[in-house]
Amino acid sequence: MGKVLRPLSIWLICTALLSGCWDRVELTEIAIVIGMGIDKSDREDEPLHLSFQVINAGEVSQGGTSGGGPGSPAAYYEVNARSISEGIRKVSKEVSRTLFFGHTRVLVLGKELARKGINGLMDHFERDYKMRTNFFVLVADGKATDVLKTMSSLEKTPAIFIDRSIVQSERDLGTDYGVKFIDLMQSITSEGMEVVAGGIHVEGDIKAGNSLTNIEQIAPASKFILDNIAVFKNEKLVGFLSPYESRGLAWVKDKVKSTVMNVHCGKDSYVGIEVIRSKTKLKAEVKNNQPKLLIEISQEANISEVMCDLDITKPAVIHELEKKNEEVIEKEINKMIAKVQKKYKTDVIGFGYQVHKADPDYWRKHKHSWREIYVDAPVEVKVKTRIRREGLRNKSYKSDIHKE
Amino acid sequence: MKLFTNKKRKQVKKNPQIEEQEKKELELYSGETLYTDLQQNLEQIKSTLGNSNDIIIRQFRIGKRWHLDAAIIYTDGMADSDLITNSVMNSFLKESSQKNLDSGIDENTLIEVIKNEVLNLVDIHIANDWKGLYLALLSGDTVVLFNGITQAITADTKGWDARGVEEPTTSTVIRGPKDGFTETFRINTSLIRRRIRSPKLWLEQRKIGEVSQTEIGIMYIKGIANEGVLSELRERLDRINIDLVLESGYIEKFIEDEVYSPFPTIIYSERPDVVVANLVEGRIAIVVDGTPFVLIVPATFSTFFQSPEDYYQRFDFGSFVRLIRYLSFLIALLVPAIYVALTTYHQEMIPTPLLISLAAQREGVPFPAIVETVFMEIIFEILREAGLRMPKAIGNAISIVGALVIGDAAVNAGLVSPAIVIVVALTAISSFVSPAFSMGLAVRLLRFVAILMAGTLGLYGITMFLLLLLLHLCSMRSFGVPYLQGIAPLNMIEQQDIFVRFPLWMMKKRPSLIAQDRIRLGHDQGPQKPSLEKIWNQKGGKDNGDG
Repeated sequence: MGKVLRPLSIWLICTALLSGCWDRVELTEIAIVIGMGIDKSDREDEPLHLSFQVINAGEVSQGGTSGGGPGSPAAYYEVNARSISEGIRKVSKEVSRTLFFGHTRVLVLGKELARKGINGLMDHFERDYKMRTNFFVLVADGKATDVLKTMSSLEKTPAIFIDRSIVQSERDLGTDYGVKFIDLMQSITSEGMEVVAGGIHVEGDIKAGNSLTNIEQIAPASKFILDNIAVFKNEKLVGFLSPYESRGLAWVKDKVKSTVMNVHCGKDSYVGIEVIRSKTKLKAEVKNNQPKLLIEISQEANISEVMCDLDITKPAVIHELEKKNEEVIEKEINKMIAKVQKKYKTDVIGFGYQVHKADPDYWRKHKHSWREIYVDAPVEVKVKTRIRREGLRNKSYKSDIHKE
Repeated sequence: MKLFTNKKRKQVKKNPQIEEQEKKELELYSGETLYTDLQQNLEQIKSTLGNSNDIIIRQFRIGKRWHLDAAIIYTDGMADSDLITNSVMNSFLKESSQKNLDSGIDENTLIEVIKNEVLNLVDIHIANDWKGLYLALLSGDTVVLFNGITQAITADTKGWDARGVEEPTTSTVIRGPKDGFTETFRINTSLIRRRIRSPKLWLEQRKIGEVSQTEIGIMYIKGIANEGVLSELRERLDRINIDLVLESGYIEKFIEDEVYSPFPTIIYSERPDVVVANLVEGRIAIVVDGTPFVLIVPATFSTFFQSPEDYYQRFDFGSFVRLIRYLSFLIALLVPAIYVALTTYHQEMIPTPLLISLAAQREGVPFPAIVETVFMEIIFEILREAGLRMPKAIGNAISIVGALVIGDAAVNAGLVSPAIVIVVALTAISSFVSPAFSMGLAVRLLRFVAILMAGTLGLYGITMFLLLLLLHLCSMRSFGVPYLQGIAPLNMIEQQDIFVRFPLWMMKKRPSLIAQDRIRLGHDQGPQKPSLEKIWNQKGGKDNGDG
């Protein structure tokens, strides 16, 4: 028996002592936190104001066995605290279940808090094993609590709605892109790169948006707008970019998956150019102690709309359109660079990072004064567009109209 | 560290005196010769068999002058009485009148004359002692006794009502032979021999069971079957000392390698084609009288996932189905455990929408996930067992109770969540996929172990469980062949017939360690597409010649 019992007992002891999974928790004992917000609180002694959006599973799912009238798909809790981990525990006074962060989709930072700086706040999210690092970080142009309190239709809870629309608009529109927590931490810790985060604000009647009636009407009283990218300097919010400037940044960061560009072809008429593939290459070079950034974008596009009488069967016309499209994009990028370089004076495009890669010696000497050098450093943008297809027709129907 | 090996089977030492006595009792009649007097012999038979009604004794006189007293004895119902009347009685009463068989004739001459000139039956033997006589009598043979002679003639007149060859009920195929083994030993061996017309197919016969004297046949192909395995099998069979053998399961329990393992190390099959295919691969079949299930040794893990149909259908589909089988093995083994682990430990691993609906389903369910799962699995096992044992007419009631009460009412009553019903249903269906029922039994047992491990340690527990399972499987052997032969130790050639099935013409070798002669095919057996010219020129040539 000793031959069997000894290894068996060793195995049992090992499984008992070496395992890290004693925290068994039933599904009915957890509250799934789907969105979390951090604001600056009004109180001096407890400077953080945490808010949590929790899924009300019984209401969300059709298959739920617990009936009852229509309730809110999500519950909202808030608490003031000194630290994030304290706040998470403090909120248990209000919630009957353990908060569960494994499915957190968005972290919303209030504008005021972001302006003060987010530097030390992110540690808990990296340290705590219960947190995942793949949620989106957004900066609210207002209060984070307002974002988490607003109802939305289509998705199960507002936080999922935000998460899905970030992904969707990144894929379809390209004017902004999602910054995940892990990307945020990467740009916080890398040299020569400043932090950006997605921007969000609630448009409309914020009070009315809190109620379930917000999603019972066809045009909701308030809704989320995800257009502007929040730009940081020294981990402090310095401002938001406009939608087109955001796309300018997205081009540089190679985040544009697909988008539509408009090229003028007459008064109030445009040719729609649908970019289907785009690849951005950043290259820095240091010549005569002068760093320079070269942004090269090569892309493939289709023609998606022709509003004027253009003979696009002719290669020359296509070339013309390509050229114009390149100019539009270059302009967009240059406008964004002018804003972050001259106005915000923050290196969100990662210029310094590229210089570091290109010329480490130069970087070592100048990294402390980089912020001053950056403001005046030249950036060159080169876009190469290839139009591949023009859709189901070639010439627009306008060229078939023979009315004098 | 070997945790579950049980290589050395300890032999319990018996008191030698008791052993001796047992032996004596069991071999009561061997060596005891018959009496010379016919009446005395008949009395002895009657008293030994307790005047049993079904023993028929018919006395008569034979010889030219009808002087020699004789008697035939047979068991009614086991012997073919038509055959006895037409052949045995007929030959004695008619043929013997031509022969000089008066009393006082030399014993051996008489037997020779009867054997060679009188009895018109094929299979005739001489019984010298009581043991042989009783064995023949109780197997359905006819025993002939003569006055003054201490030998008995036994004639094979076996004939009883037996079930005919029917389609096997336990393993059916869409394509493939539809005959199955029966309860009769001779029919079973003939079903095998009918498929292998080779003199190399050898049959060794022995009797096991001191009381039942059950016929056991070892069938193998001389030259292909591994001699080592064969002699090991003979040794193990000879060691069996049991009173009764009712089914091949009795034999299996005595000769299997791993007693303390849920996994079977011997295959059984009801299908002659399966047995024959295994014989030709070098395995050995054990046919047991009284059961349609023939044992096949040695068995490795992968053989339990092979169905005859894999080979009858085209190889692509055969491979696909086999992969499905391995998949369903894993599903049946692990899905409830994974459900428990994910819902109680690793909620972050479930996609958010699924987690939300699972959480919604679990609202109001009073039990923890593990209790719910074990509860439902046990209920399913009860249902399955009830469905098996119930009279067929009431069987429908079971499915109604199962579907309505367990599936629907339990969910509506808030006892269990709908998800667990799906999990149980999925595992139930998957556990039926295995072509070998015995492997399905192993999975049914191990599933509960997996659930418990998952419920106490989460995915870590499942990993531990799988590791232990792997260690256990690696340590197992079936007649000296590693249980995971082909997988561990890895053998690339054998991979042709483990997870997938290669086209038959590509499988050139028989499994190693099992077959002695490993070459299965000649060279270049693959289908060769002739060029169009070859076909058309032949025809064209003929036409031209005629023209």
